[in-house]
Amino acid sequence: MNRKAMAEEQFRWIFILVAGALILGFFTSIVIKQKQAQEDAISAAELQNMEFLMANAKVATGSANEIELAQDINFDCNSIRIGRLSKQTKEPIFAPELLKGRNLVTWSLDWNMPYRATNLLFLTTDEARYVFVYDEDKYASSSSYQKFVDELYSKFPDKMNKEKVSNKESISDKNNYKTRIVLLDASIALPTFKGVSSMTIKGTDLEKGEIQFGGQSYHYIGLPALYAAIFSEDKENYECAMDKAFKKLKLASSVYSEKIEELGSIQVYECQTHYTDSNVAISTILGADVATLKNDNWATGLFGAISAMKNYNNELIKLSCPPIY
Amino acid sequence: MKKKAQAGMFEIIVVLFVFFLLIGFGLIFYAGMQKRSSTEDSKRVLELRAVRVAQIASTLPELQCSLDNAVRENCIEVEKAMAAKDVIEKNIADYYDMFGYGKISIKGIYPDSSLSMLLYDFNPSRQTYDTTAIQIPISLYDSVKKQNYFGVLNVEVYS
Amino acid sequence: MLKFTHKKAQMELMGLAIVVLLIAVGMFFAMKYTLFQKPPEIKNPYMQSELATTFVNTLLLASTDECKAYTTMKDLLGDCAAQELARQKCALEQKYCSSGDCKTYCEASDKIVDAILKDTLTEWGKSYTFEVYSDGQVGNYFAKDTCAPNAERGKAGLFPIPARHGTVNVKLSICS
Repeated sequence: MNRKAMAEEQFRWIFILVAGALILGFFTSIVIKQKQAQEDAISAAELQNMEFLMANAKVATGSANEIELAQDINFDCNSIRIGRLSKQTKEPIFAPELLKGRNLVTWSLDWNMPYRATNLLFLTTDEARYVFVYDEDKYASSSSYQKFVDELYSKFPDKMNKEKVSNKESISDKNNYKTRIVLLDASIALPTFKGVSSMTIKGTDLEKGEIQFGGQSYHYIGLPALYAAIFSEDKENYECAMDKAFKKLKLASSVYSEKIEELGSIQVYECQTHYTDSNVAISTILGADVATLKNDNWATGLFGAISAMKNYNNELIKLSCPPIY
Repeated sequence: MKKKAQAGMFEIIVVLFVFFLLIGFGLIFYAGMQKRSSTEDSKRVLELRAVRVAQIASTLPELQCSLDNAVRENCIEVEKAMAAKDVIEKNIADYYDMFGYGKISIKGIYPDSSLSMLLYDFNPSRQTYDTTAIQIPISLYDSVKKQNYFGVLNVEVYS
Repeated sequence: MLKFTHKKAQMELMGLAIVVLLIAVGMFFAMKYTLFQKPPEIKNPYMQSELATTFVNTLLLASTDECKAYTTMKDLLGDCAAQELARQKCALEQKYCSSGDCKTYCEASDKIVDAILKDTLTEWGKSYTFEVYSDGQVGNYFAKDTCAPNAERGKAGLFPIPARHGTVNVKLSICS
């Protein structure tokens, strides 16, 4: 009898243990799944915030905006990743590969070629450092160089972590995860601490010139394209984003081309000649792409077409004809 | 004794059954609440998307009024819209990346109510989808006649 | 003793059954009144105020050739408000006096605004209050109100127009 009771007791305990384990396991799995779901929900909300932020930044160009960065963001030309979630992006965005810091800073500029084609969006954080290096002797002797350096630096938003140093100083390590050194037609011994990358700007014209980074030279047309190179992680990111910008330029140019055709057929003679002449210029702009920036002749041709379009548009406005843009 | 033990076992099983039944009810209730709140969330998200699409459309360089790059807010140029209509149709994939599934059109209200243009139309291939529409008053500028019309930008988005 | 034990066990089971029944009934009512209720319509006060502002801005820029050629609604409303001219008819400026259809500037503005509101806000199922009034003047030059008496008015789109005899205000509020 006792043995039977003991056996019964044992089975009872085994049953309790198994049932208890099942119940505990069930609730633990719910908790783990909920935790993961919540983390994904936070990442999704952050991604959505990023989407709206970028959409707003595109609409309101000119001023830089700052928001708190809850999680690190991984960026490549075609996607933005937060946590386990990522989102594709088709807009021309120039940013470092990793956005890390307390605050995310967004800035966008109109890219006019000569009409507005798109907005270029720049992303960075307060932990990324931008060092503008100028040639001290040239700064003292050339007013155009001085104007170029001062204007380029002053137009760079104050919300960003920027500084201006002469080539006779040294660049100290301020423990930033990323340091971008912009050499303004100057040379300096590049520091060796982590996260350093550099690029060189040749010339003193904010509207056109040449930039070098990643072993490649590019022409830039317009100040936004120059800033785009500063914010890009590397030449691959720059080329990829500029490729998207040129696609937008093609779409805008197609619209203006059709508009010119339509206006040319209904306007008086004085207006018509300008519409006809601008057709040639717009064909050059329509044919431009990233490869144009790497070729001296093509870049010169593109810049010439842009200047010509500006002149035709100004003439049309003076004559009270419907302008092209 | 055997019967007592069996009764005891039966009691435990019944208790466990009832316990899991209650848990089941609770989970169904919780899932229902989650579904309801996610339906409300998705409706809100769709509305926000409609606003975003309207914002993008009204500031698109291909449509927005400008004079020598000085842009005019809340204004679409009629001549540009007529040209953009064809360009959008030929490059629908590029514009899908911006607008997603949806429909964008402009309509003149005063003084020219005959002006009406469908700028973008891309439907999902599946049969059922949620939809939300917003209408935004917008100036339609005729650059030839140099006149502004009171118009409406209609944006419909599909999930 | 055995009978009492039986009764105790039966009472225990009854108790359990009643608890389960109560919980089930409670869950049923909870589900009925929460899950199956129609969700409330999502109202967006920000969008309402944006709509009002955008509407007024767009209205004032609209071109019109009522009373005068090549004018805008802003000018027409300004003329409506100018006290001297308010009594003068459109005929003094231009056309619109054929078959006795002679209007004042205010009548012309009212007609245009009415047509625009009918084709827009009314068609979209929105209630609104639209007023054109001067600072310090009792009453409006003209007004339209389709809001319910106790309806909550969103933030108004207000646009002041400098006119010859003071400022004219054009105000639109969308009601929820």
